[in-house]
Amino acid sequence: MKQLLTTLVLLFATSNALAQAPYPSKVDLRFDHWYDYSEMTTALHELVAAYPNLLSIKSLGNSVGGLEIWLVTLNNPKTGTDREKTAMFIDGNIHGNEIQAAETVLYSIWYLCKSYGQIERLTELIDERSFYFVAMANPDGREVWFHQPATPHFLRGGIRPVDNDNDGLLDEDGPDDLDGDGHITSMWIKDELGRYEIDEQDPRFFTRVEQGSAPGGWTRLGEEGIDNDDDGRINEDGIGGYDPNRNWPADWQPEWIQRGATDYPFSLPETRVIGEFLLDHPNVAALQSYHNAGGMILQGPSASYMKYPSSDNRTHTEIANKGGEMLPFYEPMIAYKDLYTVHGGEDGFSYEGLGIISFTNELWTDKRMRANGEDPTKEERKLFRDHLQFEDVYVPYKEIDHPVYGKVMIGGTTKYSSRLTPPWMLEEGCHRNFAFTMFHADEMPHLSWGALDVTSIGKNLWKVTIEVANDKIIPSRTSMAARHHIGTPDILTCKTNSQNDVAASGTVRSLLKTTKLQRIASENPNRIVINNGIGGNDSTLFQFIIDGKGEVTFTYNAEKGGSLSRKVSLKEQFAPKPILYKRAISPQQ
Amino acid sequence: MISLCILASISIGLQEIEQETERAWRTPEEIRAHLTNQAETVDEITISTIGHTQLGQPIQCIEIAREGAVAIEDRSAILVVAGIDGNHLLGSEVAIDLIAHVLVMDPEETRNLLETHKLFVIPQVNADVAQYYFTPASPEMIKNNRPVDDDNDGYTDEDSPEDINGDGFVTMMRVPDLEKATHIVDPETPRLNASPDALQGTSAEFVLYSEGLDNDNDGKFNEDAIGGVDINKNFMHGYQYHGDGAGVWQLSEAESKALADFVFAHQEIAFILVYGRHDTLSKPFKETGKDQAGAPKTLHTGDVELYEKISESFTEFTDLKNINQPNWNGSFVAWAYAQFGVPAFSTPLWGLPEGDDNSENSDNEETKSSELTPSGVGDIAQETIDELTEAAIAKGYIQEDEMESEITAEEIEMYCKMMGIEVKRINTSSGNKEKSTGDGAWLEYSDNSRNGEGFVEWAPFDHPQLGKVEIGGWVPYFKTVPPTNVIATRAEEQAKFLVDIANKLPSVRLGTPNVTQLGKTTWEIKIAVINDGWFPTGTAMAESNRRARPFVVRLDTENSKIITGQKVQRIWALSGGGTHKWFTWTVQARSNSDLSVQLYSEKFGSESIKIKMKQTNGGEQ
Repeated sequence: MKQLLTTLVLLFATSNALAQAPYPSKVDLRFDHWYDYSEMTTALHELVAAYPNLLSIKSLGNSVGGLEIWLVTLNNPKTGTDREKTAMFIDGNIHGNEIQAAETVLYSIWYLCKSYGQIERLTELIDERSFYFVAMANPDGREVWFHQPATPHFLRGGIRPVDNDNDGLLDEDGPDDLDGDGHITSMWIKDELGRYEIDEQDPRFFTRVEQGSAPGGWTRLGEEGIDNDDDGRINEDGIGGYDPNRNWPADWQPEWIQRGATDYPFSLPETRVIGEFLLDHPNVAALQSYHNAGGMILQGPSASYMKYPSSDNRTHTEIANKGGEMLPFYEPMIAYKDLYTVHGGEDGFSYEGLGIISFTNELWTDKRMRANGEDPTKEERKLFRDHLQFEDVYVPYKEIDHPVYGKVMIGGTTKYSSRLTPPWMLEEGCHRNFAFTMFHADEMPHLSWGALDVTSIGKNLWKVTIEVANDKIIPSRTSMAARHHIGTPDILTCKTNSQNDVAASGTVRSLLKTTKLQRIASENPNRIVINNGIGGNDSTLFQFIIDGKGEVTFTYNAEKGGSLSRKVSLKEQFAPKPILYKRAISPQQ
Repeated sequence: MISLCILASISIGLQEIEQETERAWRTPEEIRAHLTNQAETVDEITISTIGHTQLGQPIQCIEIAREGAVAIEDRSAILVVAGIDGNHLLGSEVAIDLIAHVLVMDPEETRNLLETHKLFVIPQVNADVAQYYFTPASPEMIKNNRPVDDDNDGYTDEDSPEDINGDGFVTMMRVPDLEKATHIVDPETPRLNASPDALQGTSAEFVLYSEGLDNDNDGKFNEDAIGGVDINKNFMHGYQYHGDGAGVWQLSEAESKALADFVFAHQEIAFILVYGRHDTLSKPFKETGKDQAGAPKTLHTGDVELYEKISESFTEFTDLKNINQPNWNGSFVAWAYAQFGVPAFSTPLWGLPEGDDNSENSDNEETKSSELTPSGVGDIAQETIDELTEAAIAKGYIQEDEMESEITAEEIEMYCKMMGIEVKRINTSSGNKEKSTGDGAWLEYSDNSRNGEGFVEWAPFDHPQLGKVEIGGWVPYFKTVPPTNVIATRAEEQAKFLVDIANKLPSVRLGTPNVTQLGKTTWEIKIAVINDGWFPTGTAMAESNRRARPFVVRLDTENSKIITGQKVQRIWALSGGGTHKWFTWTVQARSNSDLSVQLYSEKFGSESIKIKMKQTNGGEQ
């Protein structure tokens, strides 16, 4: 009894500050679960209601089908507005069938909120930056996957009707769930000359017979369906017929060069609302888009003729390589080289158009099945599906009477069988991708004042050297932004008063007294325009020659990097660059 | 006379034509009022608003059609668009006046245009920019009011040109500044400027700025004027991402979006004519290879002949020959041809011919001269870019390891400026012959035909910031807006040209079917789809890009009853001149039963023929 009392007292005495990991969330969400549009909407709103000091939600607009494109903003208003801070934009599921992308975004919001005030590292990150999340960039496609008979690849695009087969009719012949099992699978027919046979070892499957050997007796007819429009073709014009990830403006190409591009960039509301949001939020310095599948961390260029500035390539690669270390069996890749050419993709737009360091992650790789870095063999895959997934990714074959073909067998693997993370492995996948994204977020430009040196070079004449440092990988202006004058360049101003005046300004290469000013000829030396920004893990020494006395105020404004301000007295002084090691043993000044 | 009766019902517009009074250019508001009135008073004219400009001015579309055999909504259409270029007032007025001409012409002549087909006219897409012509002492404006930080200094539109000497024009300033100097007075034609040539003993004497003050006191003059996006660079084909005046992305501007949306909503548009700065008619428009994604930059090789023929016919109706053909990247006409997929043409309707003393040029030089166009930064030859890049590296402007093989032409211009090299565009292959094709010819024209009113003579001026300068130069709009008496002739010519185009449009029909009995219930059906018009139903470009919808040929019977042949087939392009495309099916059907063949085209309409299963005896026409 006494022991019980002691335990109870201890339990009640425990305060939040002594809470133990894993930290509980105010909203109980499971990550071995698939959330359809309605459930995801509820989950997002529940999180916002539970963490009003961090989250807000609004709709960016409606999809073609009238569903909301939800935008969740994560920001601590006590440390500034979301626009004042450097921000990261994270979205997922622009391909409707790539559903685990949305759960990954949901996980990110959930994990960040429950870690605030608990995990110091993430608390700092949240205080310093702001985040914009779009969990379901293609809610229509997602809903089709959930609630209509679907496959791992369907519905990739949206539901706006398109005449895919150019016969004057729209969406008149899509797949049909003939056997009523809720899935679109394959149709097989007994055919004496057929090149498939029922697998000898595993009669649940058809396999192709070897070249040159006798026919197997079966032919695959194609995807489950009938010739709805009686034109002699089956399933040639189903729902939609375009690819929202080819609808972005940078290197947008028409349909005959890039299938799925539609008539013009941002012809789709789903892409347009995000594009306009990004244009309106120049504080966004990092972008992550989640897709499936393949275990890839993709950076551009997406076309062989696109050349990215090498410094930006290095920035992308440095971050992606870290991701490769955090995500087992994922490979950092360059899209056009290692995957395929994409014209008009989202990360191409956010980088080429807006100068934002961007990645697309293809979630889930079959290499995770055996977790040994190898793609599973046929036997390994069978083991996984039969004994770890308990055969739940197959539907048994049924014989039905097809109006055209007669007796056919319908069945096989379902929409859960590929591209999708098995739910019992989902949380880890979410976490690792989220962690990589937080690493990327943390490496967004972070500007701070470095060294300060004020020297008298004459009567009431001062040489003020002031350093602006960026201790992160991403520069405050990417080379792409600098080259194409995207957005506003960084501006350093020296505010003088009646007592003082700037005679000249520019940069210096070092703090040595003998270093000459690289003067920027200007009518307004108080104001320096820095098109290249401050480089990654770099700093720039600015120098001002100032007449007079008293005090001046320096302000550095970076679109992506925030605002700095510092008052400097015109008197001999030197302050070294502060070293910002948090949690170091003996913090230095 | 029939035309007299119609004359009575067409009021103001036609009277102006008949009377030949000195007319004024109409403001956008006046144009809209006139068109609204026309729509109210003339039966054949319907007006609609397809969108609004950035400042909220309605963009009007006029539909002109007469009752005929085919319902108006089922007809294919010709579209005329003008005023995408805000400084192209002539196009807008001609577009409006040609409507009146077309309506007074003999209805027999205009039967195809107005009764078989219909005409859409969008006379002024870019009213916001057109308005500047009517603003006193405005520079000639092409870009719209979208704020753009042209000089990348963090401020927007902070320094525009002004008329500081009060002569009513914004022209140029010659500023003696040996450090910044780039030009000398042209020794042969002192009104013009030329590049210095050290070996000729000349060195730069002055720098040229547009007239005005340094409003933001940054030492630069008029470096960030009002003026953001050039609507005619905002379209998808050849779009220059981040290009000067291209806009933040394709169709970013209300005007271009409205125009594109209208065209998309009207798949029945079969031919597009644009009045504006681009030209594809005064001389044959060339094929110039493919862009990096594989699309033809200008024409598909399969359309070169078509464009040649239309150009020939155009120059028969007008005397416009051999005008400069600026690069069409990002333009509406380029998109209409290359992506919407119809024959699309453009003409400025006025201009000085390019070097008529160069008419003897070989094909090679002609090609060169049309490639080296006096607009757009992207026209510098690759060899030049390579040489300049090397020089820039030598000077330390570019770091070797930062160098990309795709240095932009804008960067080249910047390095040239830094190295003191002037980038000048030449119109002819034979060097800087300004005299015969460029400014020299314009000066002659101004002096001889326009009382010298095109050029303001250089005169000294005491600039409050720069001291002694000279102000002078071309009068804004002189080279783009002619005297109004040009309108009448052009409108009449264009009306005739469009009538001729309408007569050439595809005329597609199903021929008489041929039925052969093969067995008791087995039949062979042969039928041809015939194009009696002149134009093919699809350009070679449309065939490639698969965007202009095809003709769909559908045999209306159960698929299971078709023994041979596809039930649904498509014709992407069918040449004119009576070309037949044959379709054959073998079907199972009862004797004397009926089948039908349907011909459907989103662009050209539908037709259906009933076929009786009964042996015919030859006889297709």
